[in-house]
Order: sequence, then structure tokens, then C-alpha cells
Amino acid sequence: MKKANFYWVGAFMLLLFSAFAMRTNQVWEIKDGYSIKFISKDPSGQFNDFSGDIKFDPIDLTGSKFDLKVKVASISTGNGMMNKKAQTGEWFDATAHPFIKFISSKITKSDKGYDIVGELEMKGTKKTIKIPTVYKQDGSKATFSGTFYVKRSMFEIGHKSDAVPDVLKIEFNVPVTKK
Amino acid sequence: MFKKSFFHGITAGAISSIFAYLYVDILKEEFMYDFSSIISSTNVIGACIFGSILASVGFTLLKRFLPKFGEIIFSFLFAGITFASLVSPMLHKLPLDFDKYLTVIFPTYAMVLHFFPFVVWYTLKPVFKP
Repeated sequence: MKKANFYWVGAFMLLLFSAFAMRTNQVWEIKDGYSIKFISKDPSGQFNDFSGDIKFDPIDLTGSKFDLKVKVASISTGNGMMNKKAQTGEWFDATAHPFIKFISSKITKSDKGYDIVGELEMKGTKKTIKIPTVYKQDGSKATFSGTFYVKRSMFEIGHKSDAVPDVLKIEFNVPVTKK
Repeated sequence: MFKKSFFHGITAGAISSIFAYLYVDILKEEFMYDFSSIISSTNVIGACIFGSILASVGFTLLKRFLPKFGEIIFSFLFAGITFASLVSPMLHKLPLDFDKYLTVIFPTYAMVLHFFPFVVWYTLKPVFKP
């Protein structure tokens, strides 16, 4: 009888721990091969230095969080002079604001994937934006990808110009592995 | 006159090609400025020969149709086109994953090449007297 009780207690404990384990959010590490591209009529390019912390679990969206940053100095437009110009005070002001930051505040399920709402900080200005994201998981690997638009005048980046459009398309593809 | 001018163009093209090739090769070997994936040697040689022959054709035609001011107009035109062509390397977009340091160097590197046909063509002008 005592032995049977011991097994029941053991089984209960196992169930309890596994339930806690399932609630623990998955931590992901950003792998090389990511791309953060900005696309417009002119200029187009990419940022080559991207890092951050990703906690994401499709079954626990409230506990998921994205804390990401992009190094402004890593901008690449394919033109050296344009790269330098982009880092000046008129544009991104890389000296005073070396990083573009994004911290999520709410993640919801959408038709195509997930909507990540959060605060985007560029050149010291913070704005809440929604980033529609497609999430594909394959075992211990996954990819976050998507497209969204940024209005540069909202962040006081550059001046009004016919040559450089106000709205730039951002395309991202971030491969990750489980930590 | 046209034959002389044509030989002038061919010779200027050949000599400027040699100098341009040496320039590209020395910078590549000595300073690791390797832009071979952007501008091939064939393109550099071709552009020097084409530019020099075009200059000779332009010179001949201007002198024939405007005997009094043709040469002066040509000088300004050749210099003007050479300077205007400098905009092209300044605006040129390299591949996004291209070496960051070389991306900064590229306009200056390429601008120098644009002067080779002009300098050699005028250097050889007293020799050919086209």
C-alpha cells in the first residue's frame, strides 16, 4: 500500500514539473545569415550588424519577448559616400544614437503568423509599431521573417526630399536556434 | 588627316590601357584594392581604347566642320565629358556585402581611371599632329 502511494506521489511530481517546464518560454539565439533590408526607389540597402534577445513560444505569447537592436554604423547601401551620409546628424546620427532598438510589448496571433507590437526607437524617437511576422519552426531551428513599413519623417530621419521617399519598406529574415 | 587621327586614337587607347592595367594591378597587389569583381581588366582596356578612338573621331569631325573653333570646342568638350564622367563612380552601387573599406575607396579609385585616356591622348597629340 505504501509503495503504491509512493508511485502516485512520484507521478504527480513528474506531472507538476513537466507542466512548469512547458510554461518556460523558449529562448532563441540569432544565427548568422540574417538579413535586415530597407527597400525604396532609392536608397536601398541593409544593416549588417543585428543582435538581441528573443524569447518566443507560440503557446505562450504573453511570456514571449523580442529585445532587438541594429547597429546604425553597419548600414550598407553599396555606396561608401551614402553610407557615411546616412550616419550623419541629418540622417541616423550614429554618434549620438548608435543603435536602432525594438522592444516588443504585445504579441498576437494573426492570419499569416504573428503580429509583434512594440516600441521602435530610431534617432532617439520612440514610436509604437506593429510588425507582421511569419514564424517557421523546424525542430531546434526557426525563422522569423516579414515585411513592414517605416515612415522616416516620424523619427526625424533626413529631410523632406523627392529623391528619398518618406516611407521605406523593411524586409527581415532572421534564422534562430534554440539556446 | 583621318588616318593620322585614327592612329592617334588607337595608340592613345593602347598606351592608356597599359597604364590603367598597371594602376589596377599595382593597387591590387600592393594595397589589396581588389575590385576585379566590379571592374574587369577587359572593361578597363575596352573603355580606354573606346574613349581614345571616340576622342579622335570627335576631334576630326569638329576640325573638319568647324576649322576655326573646332579644336577649342573639342578641348572643352573632352575635358567636360571626362569631368562629367566622374559622377558615375560616385553614384555607383557596389554589392551590399562588399568589403566596407573598399566601398569607401571605390569612387576615388575609379575616378583616377577616368583620366587616363584624356591625359594620354593629349600627351600624344604633338606626336601625331592630327
